[in-house]
Amino acid sequence: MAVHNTLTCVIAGALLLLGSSAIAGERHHQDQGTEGNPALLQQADALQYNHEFDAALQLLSRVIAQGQYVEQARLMQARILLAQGRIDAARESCAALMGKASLTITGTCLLEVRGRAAFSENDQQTLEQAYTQLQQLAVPLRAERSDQISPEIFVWQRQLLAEQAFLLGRFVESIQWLNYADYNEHPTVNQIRLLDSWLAMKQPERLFAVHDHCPQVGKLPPDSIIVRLAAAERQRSTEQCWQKLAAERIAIRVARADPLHTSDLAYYFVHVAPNAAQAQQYASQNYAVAREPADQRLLLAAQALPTQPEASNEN
Amino acid sequence: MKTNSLSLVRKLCVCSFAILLVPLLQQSAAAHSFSTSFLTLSAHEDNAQLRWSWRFTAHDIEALTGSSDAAAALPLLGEWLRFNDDCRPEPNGTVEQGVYAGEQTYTYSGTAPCAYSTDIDYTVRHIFGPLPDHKVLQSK
Repeated sequence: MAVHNTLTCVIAGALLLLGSSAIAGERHHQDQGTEGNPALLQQADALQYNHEFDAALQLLSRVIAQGQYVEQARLMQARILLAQGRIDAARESCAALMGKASLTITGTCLLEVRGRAAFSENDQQTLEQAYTQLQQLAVPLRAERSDQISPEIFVWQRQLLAEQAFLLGRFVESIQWLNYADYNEHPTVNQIRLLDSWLAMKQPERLFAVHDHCPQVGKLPPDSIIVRLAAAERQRSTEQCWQKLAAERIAIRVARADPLHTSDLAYYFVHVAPNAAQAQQYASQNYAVAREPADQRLLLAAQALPTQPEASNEN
Repeated sequence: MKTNSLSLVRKLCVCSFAILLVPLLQQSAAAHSFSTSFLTLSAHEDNAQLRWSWRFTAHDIEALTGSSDAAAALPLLGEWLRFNDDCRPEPNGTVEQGVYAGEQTYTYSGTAPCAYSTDIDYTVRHIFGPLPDHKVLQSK
């Protein structure tokens, strides 16, 4: 019952905000019976992977207009729009799933958007509500109808719960939501969530329980994890290997001057070798493209760094 | 942010609904790999020639040659790099192995039959297919 109340509340709210024109328009396209193209979805996925968000959205619009794979296209569209910080548009994408996707998928999508909106507005109370509703939606359904919940939806909901718990500062809970798999079995995004939780809890040793104390040549984790391991070394005031490795890898990334994927650089200059000018440059560059909560926090942390020359030369 | 479900799905080219749903639902903060090589150019005692060295990671060489043998790249370097359109690098046949930024590296070196200048023009070909994000960083 709580689940249905949650869904009813979220979906009714979305309908009030949106009206039904977008959904009606989508049905019109579906009635045309145009063939869908899953290859377009994969192209869109590749584009978003490279942070070419606008190009990915254009492809997804074509998929949606064709009327097939609309559920997948809408979900990816919502995710990209959230990454761009376009929260109202993401909410529209989720709401457009109504009648096309299950209540679980639609409700989860809308609750993710609600949580993101609350975070961007620094509305802790609404973020708490979204987190509670998402738990009500996710956990009872899993317990009562575990045979009907796909593993993908289970993982998705756990990922969102971990994010919302993290944003609320409930780091233990965030870690618990990801305990359905071993650290090494998680995708990088979840591994980063776990590492960030341990760092936030000032438990740098936990990072070295899941990673080697020194890297093995040719078997490196991604740069996004290397900089966190370097931050853990710094947090525990020991310098072994990861800070030196991070410095070398970041030097290459700086020399490459890639316009995208600069969050690793910003993280390094905020948390490993603080440098206000560099941190603000890369955090701003990153935030111009990617506006997820982690990107927003990184920018704020960069802007909060002291700009005195002696501080910028620290470490 | 990097092998994850996204890249796995792309590698397999599977288009079924269940498989497609995985990347669509999961957050996209996937790790990116950044393929980089380092080209160093300098003057030769013989002003009609130049010296060069080109350092790659071992896994990039494997991706480019399909072989884990560093020497497999030697006959290909003249195809990958050209100075002034038609001036081919001539490897000296040795490969220096090292470690940089946590990765095994192979450094190839040699000469080329064209004069060195700080603004010498060069082109890199054939390696951006296997390594789409590759960048050649030059120190002259």
